[in-house]
Order: sequence, then C-alpha cells, then structure tokens
Amino acid sequence: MSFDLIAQNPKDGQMFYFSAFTADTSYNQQSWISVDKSILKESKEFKWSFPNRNILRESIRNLFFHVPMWFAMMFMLIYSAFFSIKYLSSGNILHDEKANNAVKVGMFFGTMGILTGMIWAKHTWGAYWTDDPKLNGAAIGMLSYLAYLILRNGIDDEIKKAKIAAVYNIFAFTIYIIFIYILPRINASLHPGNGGNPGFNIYEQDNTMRIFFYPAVIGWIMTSLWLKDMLLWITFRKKECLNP
Amino acid sequence: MFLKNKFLQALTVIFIIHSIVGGLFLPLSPNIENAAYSKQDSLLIFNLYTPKIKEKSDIFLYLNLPKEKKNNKTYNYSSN
Repeated sequence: MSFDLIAQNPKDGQMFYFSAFTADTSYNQQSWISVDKSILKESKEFKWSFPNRNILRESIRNLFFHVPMWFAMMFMLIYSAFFSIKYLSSGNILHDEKANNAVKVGMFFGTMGILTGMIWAKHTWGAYWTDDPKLNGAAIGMLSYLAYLILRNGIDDEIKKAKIAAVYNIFAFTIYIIFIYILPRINASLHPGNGGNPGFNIYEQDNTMRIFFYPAVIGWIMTSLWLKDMLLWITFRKKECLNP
Repeated sequence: MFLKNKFLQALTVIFIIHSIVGGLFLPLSPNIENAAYSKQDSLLIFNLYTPKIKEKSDIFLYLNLPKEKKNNKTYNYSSN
C-alpha cells in the first residue's frame, strides 16, 4: 500500500509526490516517534534557501545563468538595432561599428544562453533539444544574425557594407522578436512563461531568488557592455594600424 | 564607457560574483521527499523534518488502492 502526497507550502508552492509513502505493517507507533532531534535542529536553522521543486531540483540554480544570458543578449540586440537606425539617419560609421560589435557580443551571450538552456532541458525535459517553438525560434533567430555577420564579411566597400548591414540588422531584429516572443506564446510550448506555462515568479514566494537573480541580470548586461566596448576599441586600433 | 570607468567595472564584478556564489552555494529548502524516502517512513518524521511546512501548509495524503477499488480515501492533515 502506498500514499501519494500533495503538499502546499509557502516556500515551495504546491508539489505532488507519487507514492511518497509506503505503509508497512512492521512499523509500530514506537518506531514513528524515534526521531533524530539533530535533523530537526539543523532544518530550523534554514534562513535563506531556494524553492525545492519537483523535477527542477538543483537545476533551479540555472535560472541565475540561463535567463540573465538571454537578457544580456536581448539588450545587445536592441542596442544594435538602435545604432543601425541611427547609422541610417546620420551616416556616422561609428554607429555602424557599435551595431556590429553589439551583434557579436549578443551572439556570444545567445550561444551561452542556448548551451545553459540545453543542459537545463536535458535535466528537466529529458533531452538537450526538443521540437519546441521557443527553442526552434531561438535557433532560427540566431542563424539570421549569423547571416548578418557573414553578409558584412562579403562586402568590401565600407559605406555599402554599413548601409546594407544596417538595413538587414533591423530586419533580423524584427524576425527575432517574432520568433522568440510572439510565436511561442501563440503555440503550445514547454518553455516556462510560454504557451500558457507559468514563469518562475510563481515559484518564488520569499524573494530569496530575486536577491540573486536581479544582480545577475544587471551584472551580465554590464558585462555585455564592457565586452562591446573592448571589441570596439580593438576594431579602431586595428583600423589605425591598417591606415596609419 | 566601461574601459575607463573603474567604478562600473568593480560594480560589474561584484554583481557577477554575488550571483554566481549565491546561485551555486545557497541550499534548497528542506526537501520533503528526503523525509518521505527516509528509512523510517512516517508522517511524524516528515512533519518534524520540515518546519516550514509545519508552520503553514496543507498536506494531503492519497491512499493508493488497487484500481478495481475506486473509492480511494483521502487523508487531510492540516498542520495549522
């Protein structure tokens, strides 16, 4: 004989455990009350902890890596699209270089986001990649930005390259938003926050995760800006060396 | 902006270290499954082991009977 357990508690939310308890007639009341008091003492000292969710388990820590990576990537892509528009209106080559380097940094964070997401998917969904609109959309979006980088390398004329790249960048950004944020919300998706699935905010009921999540988002976005500045600096040093 | 501003650089490093260290090393909340699968399977141990649940929660135990007996019983233990 076994018992299923449904527990609703303020820290972890609602959880379901299939066959959590099994009844055994060999246990008697005497064995039930022989509790190790040291365990009780230890658990009372718990102050800061993350929700212990079914299926997610320790992989919930990936929230501090996977999601901020995507935030950083999105920040860089918005930054890049903004400077592409600015280039088209001003014709200043500096704006084009900013857009180009922002795409490179964005793709780096996008790749990291996909890798961390794949590891997470393996531990929660059972496979590194599934036929999911969010995942496929991310892959298509990243390929469209890869095409942007290839396109730039294929044109020698600086002005022509900057103009075509700027127009393509705005197009790629629009495609990306559609594939990442609109289509997964219309179709059924496994991904949290899409296709009717709840996001992680409902699991978090005492703000412990937010204390680490928000600094992670700000920190990785600042890192992306730092990397973009370094790339820009390298780009101009190279140009100075080629055209002294 | 970032290349010359030491304050922003330091702030970035602090945020990243804070999130990595906290994210990797903070414990998960007491796991009720640990208690459930402990060798002394009993509801009493389970309740004592998870004080947060004991404070304010509803615990439902569903008795799994063979499929032909469809009148499964529900035991509701409210710890309040």
